[in-house]
Amino acid sequence: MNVATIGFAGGLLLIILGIYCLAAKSNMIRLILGVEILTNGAIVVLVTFGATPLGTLNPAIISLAILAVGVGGCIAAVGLAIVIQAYRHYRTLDVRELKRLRW
Amino acid sequence: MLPYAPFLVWLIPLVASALMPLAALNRRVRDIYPVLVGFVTAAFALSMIPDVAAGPPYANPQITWLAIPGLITVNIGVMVDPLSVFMACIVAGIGSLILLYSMGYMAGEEGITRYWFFMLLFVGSMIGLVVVDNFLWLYIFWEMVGLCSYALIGFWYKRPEARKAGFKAFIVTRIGDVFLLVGVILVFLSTGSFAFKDLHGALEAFKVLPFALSAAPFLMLMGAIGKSAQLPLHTWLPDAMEGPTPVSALIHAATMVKAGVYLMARTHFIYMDVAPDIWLTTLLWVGAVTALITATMGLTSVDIKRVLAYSTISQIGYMMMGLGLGAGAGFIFLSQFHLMSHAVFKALLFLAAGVLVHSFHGMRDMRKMGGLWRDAPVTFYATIVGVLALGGVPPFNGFWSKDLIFAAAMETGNYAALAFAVITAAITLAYGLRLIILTFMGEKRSDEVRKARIHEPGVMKVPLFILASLCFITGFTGEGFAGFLGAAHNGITFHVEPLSVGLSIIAIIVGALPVYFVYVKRSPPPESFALGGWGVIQRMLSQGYYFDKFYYAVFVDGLKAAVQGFRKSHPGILNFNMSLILGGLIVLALLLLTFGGAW
Repeated sequence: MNVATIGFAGGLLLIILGIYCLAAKSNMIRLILGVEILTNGAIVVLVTFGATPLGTLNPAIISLAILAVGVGGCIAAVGLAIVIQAYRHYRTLDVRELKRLRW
Repeated sequence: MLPYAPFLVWLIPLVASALMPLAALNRRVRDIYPVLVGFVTAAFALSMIPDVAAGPPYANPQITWLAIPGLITVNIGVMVDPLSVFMACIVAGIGSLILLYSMGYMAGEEGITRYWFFMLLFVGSMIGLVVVDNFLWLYIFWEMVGLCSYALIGFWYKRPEARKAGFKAFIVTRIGDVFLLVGVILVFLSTGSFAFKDLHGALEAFKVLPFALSAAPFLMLMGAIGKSAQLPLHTWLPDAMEGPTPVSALIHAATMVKAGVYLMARTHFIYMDVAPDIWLTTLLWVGAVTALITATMGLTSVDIKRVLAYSTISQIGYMMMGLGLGAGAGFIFLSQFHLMSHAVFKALLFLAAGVLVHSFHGMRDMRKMGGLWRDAPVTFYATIVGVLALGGVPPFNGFWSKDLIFAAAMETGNYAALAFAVITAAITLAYGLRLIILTFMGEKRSDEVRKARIHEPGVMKVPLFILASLCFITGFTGEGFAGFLGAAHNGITFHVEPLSVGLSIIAIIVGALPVYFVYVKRSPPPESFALGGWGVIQRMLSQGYYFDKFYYAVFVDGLKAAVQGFRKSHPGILNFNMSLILGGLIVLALLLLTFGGAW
């Protein structure tokens, strides 16, 4: 079992963990954490796809991965900002309270 | 040819439209600049005629636009051949006259910079559409003219009808466009190139045509049906009359709705290789049925612009018939000759109607007009010339081009189609004369019209005059035009058949007599047709055979009901939704693991 396979399996595990977190938890902070775990799992999988037979990494993939990390940071920031606003408005972190936003 | 004319002829208006906000800084420049651009464009377009009149080989300059080594190269190539030069001249020539007319019509309107921007953008993209030599760019320009059409129909966006009409035009034509896109992609997948001439070569190289390539023509026909408002996608064009009248004249009569006819004429060689019989019959009957059905709708409409819109659809049906009858010999002359006639007389009719609509501040109901011939003499005579040309009365251009279609139907033995064409011609003259009588004759029938002051400024009269004289002139250019389009190479000459002229005369008499009895003698009076059995027919015609009602019931109200049914599955609980996504992913992964080997 080589490094790429381990990385790939680990990435998949992170993705499943992230989705499980989103599916099972209702605290909005935890949900943000779940989203972060999910996106980082996706980045890990992406990086393992960039492995070449020579044992090096495809530079295009690396640049994409770095970009994705940056975007992930932005997502966390915007998500936390929404959580703060929701908390100020509803006085709770329970995501089920946001149900009334549905059309 | 002026230097770089094949490129500059569409780049000038496109760049000029982008510079429109700058020109709008000064009020006088704002109104004169687009008209100047229009005339410069027309000069470039007309300057290409001598180059193609000399005959083949035709220039086909190319610029590499997109190159991914080893995978795909897309050029922006332009064709300088008779068909594209002819279409470019129609768009630029009539377009410049209509831009001049707009100076009078749109004076003092709110948002006129937006109007000029979209008009110039339209002229540029429409010329681009007809001169490019590959399907990809054709598709891009095809969508751009659709966008301009949408934006200009909804120009008076504060009026809800105008907004709705814009949406409707956009959505209905989009249905056709999706088919066109699929057709273009199929052509690319099976030949590896977007260019028309590569497709030509590939068709000759194939021993057996791949299925994808034989389906492509019919998909493209759907695109043409959407854009050219043929049955069953015609419902957007009558509603498009909510836009300003110069827009109706330029986009919805003279040029954009001809894009479908152009596409069919440009690509007819594919169909001739694929399935000539099915293909020609399809085109012929799409055109014939559309021509007859929409002409009958025009008989009952009371909105002056809607009558003209129905007649546009009906005349495009004639062009489709012309293609179906004439393309068999590699002969696109029939449809293009009628296209030229129609572009001239329909632009004239719309501009004349525009004078009235403008004076009545957008009121278009013919029941309230009447007796206007003394107030608007120039408009009156222009309308008469336009209606006689539309109805196929000699010596106007509509007579010559319609006559050729009759003759071709007779020569090829399509007597059923000939009957459709002749009946349509009679109905066409009937609703044309009805339009004149209701609008210009008799008494003024409302205070609104009695009080209105009709003014015909010079910038609006000059285009009317030029177009009316063109109605005379272009009819006699048939022979030269046939030579210009290269019909002579296929052994087809321009000639007038006595029998088809006789049919035209019969159609004129049959069309004019009922109008004389009903609207002049008033025996029976027109009101009597709203009663009894005639009333049922009249209601059906004025509702457009209930096409709109049907589409609304199925695609608008039906879809809304279906969506309401789905709403229950959206509980708004995040955890529930995510659990479903997780479950879906697991099912997908299991499917891949089980059946993935087959891929």
